[in-house]
Amino acid sequence: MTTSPHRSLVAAGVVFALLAGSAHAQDIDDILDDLEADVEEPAASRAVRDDIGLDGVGPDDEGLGDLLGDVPESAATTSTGRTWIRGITGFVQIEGKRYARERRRGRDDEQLLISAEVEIDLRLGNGLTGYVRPRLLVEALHGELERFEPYEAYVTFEGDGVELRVGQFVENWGIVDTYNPIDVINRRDLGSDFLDPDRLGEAGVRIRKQWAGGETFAEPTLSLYALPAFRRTEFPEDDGRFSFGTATQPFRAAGGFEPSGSEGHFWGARFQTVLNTAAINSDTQLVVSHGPERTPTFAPRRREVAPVYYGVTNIGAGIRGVPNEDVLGEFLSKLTLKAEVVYKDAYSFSNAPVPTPDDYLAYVGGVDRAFDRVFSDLDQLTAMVEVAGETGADDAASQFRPFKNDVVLRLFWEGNDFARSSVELRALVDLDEDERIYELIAERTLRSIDEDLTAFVSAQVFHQPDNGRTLFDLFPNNTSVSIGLRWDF
Amino acid sequence: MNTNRTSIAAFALVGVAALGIAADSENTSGVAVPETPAFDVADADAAGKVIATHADLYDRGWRDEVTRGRMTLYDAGGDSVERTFSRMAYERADDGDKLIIRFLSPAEIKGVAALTFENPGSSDDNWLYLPANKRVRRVSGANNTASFQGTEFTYEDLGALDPVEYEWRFLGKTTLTRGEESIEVYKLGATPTYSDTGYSRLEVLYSVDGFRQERIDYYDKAGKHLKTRDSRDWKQLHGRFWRAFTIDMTNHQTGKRTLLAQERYFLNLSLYTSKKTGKPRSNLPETMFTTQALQK
Repeated sequence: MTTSPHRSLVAAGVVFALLAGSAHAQDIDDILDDLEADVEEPAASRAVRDDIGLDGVGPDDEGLGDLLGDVPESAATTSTGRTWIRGITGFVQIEGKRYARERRRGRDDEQLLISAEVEIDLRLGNGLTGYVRPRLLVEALHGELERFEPYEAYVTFEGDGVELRVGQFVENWGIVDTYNPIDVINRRDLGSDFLDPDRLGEAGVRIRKQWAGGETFAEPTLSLYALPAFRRTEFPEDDGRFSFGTATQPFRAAGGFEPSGSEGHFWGARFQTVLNTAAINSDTQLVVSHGPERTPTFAPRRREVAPVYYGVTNIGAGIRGVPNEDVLGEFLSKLTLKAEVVYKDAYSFSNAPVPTPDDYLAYVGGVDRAFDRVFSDLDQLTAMVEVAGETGADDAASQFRPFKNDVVLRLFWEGNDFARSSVELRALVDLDEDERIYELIAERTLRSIDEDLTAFVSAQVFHQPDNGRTLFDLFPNNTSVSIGLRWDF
Repeated sequence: MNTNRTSIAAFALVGVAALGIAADSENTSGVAVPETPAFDVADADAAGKVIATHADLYDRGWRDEVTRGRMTLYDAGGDSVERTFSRMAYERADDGDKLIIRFLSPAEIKGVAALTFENPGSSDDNWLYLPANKRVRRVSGANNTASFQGTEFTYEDLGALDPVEYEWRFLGKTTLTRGEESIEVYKLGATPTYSDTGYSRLEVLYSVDGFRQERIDYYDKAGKHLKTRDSRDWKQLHGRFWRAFTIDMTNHQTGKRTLLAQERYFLNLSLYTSKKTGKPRSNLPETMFTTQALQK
């Protein structure tokens, strides 16, 4: 029996109806907007002030009197009540990118990337809010990339401790910093950035219930996900530097093997809690999901290379915590400990022409340590070490997964100066193969021009083993330098 | 009779109008002023603890707070940048308070937010939300001594002074002069008893009336005078709770300053009536002070 997307949504609605109480939107902006717009001076205080003639005392000085009747400038009145844009933020960015080695003789590989992203917060009234985040990305020199992605576009209804979100959204299940094996819900845009790809929105429903919790298990939160529609992962075009195709076998994202019907449904559950124990206070989560793996394997098909999607049942956990000094000592209490582990049980879809990938366990563990006043009186340096690996799989697909046995070192320096200068250095080292990737990102606002204008320089250096046994060795050397400007608004 | 023995109450009726501060004459908060304990200044340690504990108790019962303000950062040369922020606090009767600080402008820093759970007698829990990657990150005690987003405030300075986390000492009764204003104050020494601190000791001036924390002088680990936190433009909200509308943190070693000016201050929301409903407001629920809420 197949289940339609509509049926998934109906099921989600029923669960929400069972969990939800009355409409009850609560967030900081709501409170401030509400207070500033509608708060009346407390009657008792007003009487006191009138009686004793204490000008400048009481609610006027609390900033209330001049706000009576005040409504945000962007407010609009509709026949069904007040609807307004609570906030618009975003950025416009231009980035020039130059590669150290051209792919082919005479090939101009330089890129000029222009991107813009807007975040629009909407208050729709009666516990209902909206959020829209479209992004535009264009490669202006050769037209290699053209993206107009509605990353996120959803409405959220907030009841008494229960929240229903419907639309397209991005969820970050990750706990650690560089590689998140537990973060399986969103597809990635591998065409725009292969190393740190953007998450692409998934359309569906999320129901979240939060309980009061206790001292040990604080903020217990259960989120249920139903994502009924299968959508393809974005891959580099054939003229991209990370293309999976070759001159004789071009890559075609639409030409692969995909789930059909209910095979494309993705179901997920995530339980989060703030776990307070004698030894460690931590943010902990458990996740379970079932559905198409967001990154497929690949297989030749006719004269092309095509993606082959398969399904996975994921069972995982993550923790990020700070040890308590009284039990574990001062040294450990300065560290932030973090770990993710997920067991992936793969299954094939009905039309898959290749063997199902092996089941495996993927894991990451690491520590952060912050140091302040390193080079100046306000700066801070965060050092990070993470070890990532996997075990249990020996199939062909596993050979080209990244982070099979890797160490990641990261230094992040924040100047905390007026220009908000920062420098990030990262090294990814494959312990099995002679593969290393180094990254540098430096940013600084150009205050003399505009306080929201930021200049940045970044570099990626690839050291590849040239033995064809690693993922990045499948591609030409992509060592590059970028320089750009970003204006936030 | 011990002539050193005195009562806090003996100093409590200093005319507030003479000090240039604003007060309602009637307590409309529904929270009584606690009875003032006696202390013996001959036992400086005990006296200091009594005063600090009473000052903490004096300010209990406010339940919740919502403020919006302006933060100006000055460097030694007088150059400055300005940011706006909101702050929400939730009082827990028998536990540490919870608070959220969120930057509202400029755009480059907008949305950055910090959540703190104060834990009496142990390290606070701190989370930071960075909108750029849309993640809430728990940060360790090592961050306690770091600058909060480039200000002269460290994470350690964000919360209230918890009397159980210091060894107190009564250093005397003196007069704080601020322009033409003269304020009778108790001067207390405070030595942190927790490890993740950037200070060797503090000197805290509490006003004799109202137990307002008028000034704190911070000394670094080497014992040198590091910073002064000067709180002024006090107003007594609901005729009961004193709040400083201006807080000036000056770093004497670098010449840098951070000036906080509160522009909106709402205390105990249940004491306000909503025009929408005509009914008293509800207090903020504790569920607004969670890592989930930090992302909103």
